Formats: sequence, C-alpha cells, structure tokens
Amino acid sequence: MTCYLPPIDKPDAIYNIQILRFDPEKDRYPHWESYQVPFVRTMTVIEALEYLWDQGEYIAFRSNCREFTCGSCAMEINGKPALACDTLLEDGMRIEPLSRFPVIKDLVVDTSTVPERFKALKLWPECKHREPATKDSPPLPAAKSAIEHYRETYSRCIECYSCLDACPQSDSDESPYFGPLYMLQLARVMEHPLDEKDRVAQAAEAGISHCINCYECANVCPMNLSPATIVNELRSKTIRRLDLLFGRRRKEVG
Amino acid sequence: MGDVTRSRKKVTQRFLERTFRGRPMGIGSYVWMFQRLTGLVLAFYLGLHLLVLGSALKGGASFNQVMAMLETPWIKVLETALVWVALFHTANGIRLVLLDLVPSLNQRSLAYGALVVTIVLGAMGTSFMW
Ligand code: FES
Repeated sequence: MTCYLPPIDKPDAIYNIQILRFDPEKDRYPHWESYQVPFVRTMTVIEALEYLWDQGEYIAFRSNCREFTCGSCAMEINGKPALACDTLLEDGMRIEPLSRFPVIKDLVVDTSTVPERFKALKLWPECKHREPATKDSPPLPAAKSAIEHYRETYSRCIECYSCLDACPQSDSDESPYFGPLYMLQLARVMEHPLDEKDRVAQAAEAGISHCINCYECANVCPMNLSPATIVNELRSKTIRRLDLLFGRRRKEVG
Repeated sequence: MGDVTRSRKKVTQRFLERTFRGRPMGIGSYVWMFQRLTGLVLAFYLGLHLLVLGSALKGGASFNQVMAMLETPWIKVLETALVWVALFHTANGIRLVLLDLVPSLNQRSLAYGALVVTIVLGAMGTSFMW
C-alpha cells in the first residue's frame, strides 16, 4: 500500500467510474472495468486513481506535477482528451488512454514516436556558421511580435499530446498529417531569428493541407492555446508558395 | 505493441461518444461534418441532374413527361432541401476560404455567421418557391 491520500472518512457521494484496463501479460484486448470511488469535494480524476491505487487496484497511469504543468497525465475522459489532474470527478465517468498511441499498460501509452519525429523535423534553429557570441556582440534582432508569441503561445505548450489525440485527420503515426503539435513546434522554430531552414516546405510535407479547420485541437488544449490558428497561419503561407503545389506528398521530412 | 491495443477512433465514434457523454465537440467539428454530408448530397445531385436533363432532351413528349414529374410536391420538397444544402455548403465554403486567407479571423463567429446566412437565405428561398 502506498497511501497517496489521507483516508476518506465522510465521502460526499459514492461514484461509479469505468476504466479501460489492459495488461499485456494477461489480456489480449483492452476491457472495461468499473470501480467505486468515494467522492469528496474538489476530487480530481488523478486523485481517484490514486485512491484506487491505495486500495490495491494497481492501475498504471502517468502523473507528476498534479498541477497542469508537466503534461504527462493526459487521457481520454468521456471521450475527450484532457488532463486528469485538471478534471473534476463525475459519476459514471469513462476513463481510457489516449487513442492515438499504442497502449503499454492500462492508461499509459507509448509516446516515444513524438520525440523521434521532433528530431526528424530538426526543431532547432538551423543556420550557417556564425561567430560565437562575445560580451560586446549585439543582441539578437528578434522581432517584438516573435517575443510575444514565444511568451504567449510557444513556451506555454506542455506537450500533453491532447491536440494530437483530438485531431480527426491524424489518428495514428501512419496518417499523412502529422498533427497540430508538430505544426506548433514548426511555427515556433520558424519565428526564431537565427533559423534559416525552409519550414514552410517542411510543414507542407508534413501534410498541413490535410487540416480540415475543425479547431478541435484548440477546443481540447488544457493551456487554452490555439494550435489551429497557428496551423492556419502556416498553411496560408504554404498556399502562397507555387513550388509546393505539387510537392505536398509526404516525403521523409527533414 | 500490436495495433489491437490502440482504439484509433474515427470521427463518427468520437462524435457519438462526446456528444452523448457531456463533452460536446466545438462548432467547427459539427459544421465540418455537415460540410462533408452536404458535399456528398451535392455530388449525388449533380449526377441526378444530368440524368434527368438527358432524359428530358430526347424529344417533345419526354420533355413534357419529365416536367410533369418535376411538378409533384415530393420533388418540390426535395428541391427545397437541396436549396438549404447548397446554401450551407456555399456559406461554410466561403468561411473556409476566408480562414485560409486571413487566419486570425475568429472561426467560431464565422461558423455562426455561416449558419445565420444559411437560415436567412434558406427561408427567403423557401418562401419564394412555395
Ligand atoms: S500530473 Fe502534471 S499535468 Fe497532470
């Protein structure tokens, strides 16, 4: 027993929740199981899972910060991807892992392809050789809007992969559209003053024209960012580039 | 990891799940679904239109026959529905083009605007036809 929570003496109600369980050693397919959780005011889904863990129900899940900062606890709650630490428990809730990724166990999914793709997209400022900065070298000429965007949008993404999960055009790694998260990261590095790589072509090759303007990524983002607006801005740049007109098929992006 | 473990939900499944479990999707998703459906209807209608026109142009007698068939109330109801479908498809299509040209526009108000335009013009068209 691990004892995450103080014992609950007077619960406000007893809630039934359902969790999609999968144990690779025992099960061939995931299956639903229902649990009873005593609800106290302000109890979140993470706390319910921790309560169950205290009771000896070892349901695998990821969480670290419990305050919507690390982005590791994203799961599908009633079908909508959300942070489990940011969602209050409700009666009859159905909790399942993110459906875009392969499940490792219970609510833990294998997201290892995301950093690999980040690497393949070369999400760092790529530029020709420059003299290393010294004490009197002038500061980088960053546009004020870029600084604003970094502060307001790009640095606030916690990479919880909710937007990837919600995107109807990118339901697995094999789909032609990479997903909103990658587009946000491409836009981020595009605005860096040192970057010289052709990010617009990269976005076109990553299938940005497959976006259908449903704005579901903006709808589910726990940090209230709007990846869809960024995707739209990037795409309005790709549709103005004639050389990308026929090159939009997905190549090895890099 | 095999693929059995991941659910890879399709948009219809997501739509049903979220709509009936108190987590509705944004208006963008719903108008997108309507856009697809109305697009299919319009494509189907195009074929039908050509077929009817082709059979009407065979001669005077068949022309009169087809015209009489088109006057029946059922066909008129379908035509009214077609007007609504085409209006919605046009209005939302204009919204999508606007979003492509000016990405910073608010898609939600544009979607509601498209719906309002559809309803106003559709009501006008319906009263004009009947
Ligand atoms: S536990 Fe860190 S975001 Fe939920």
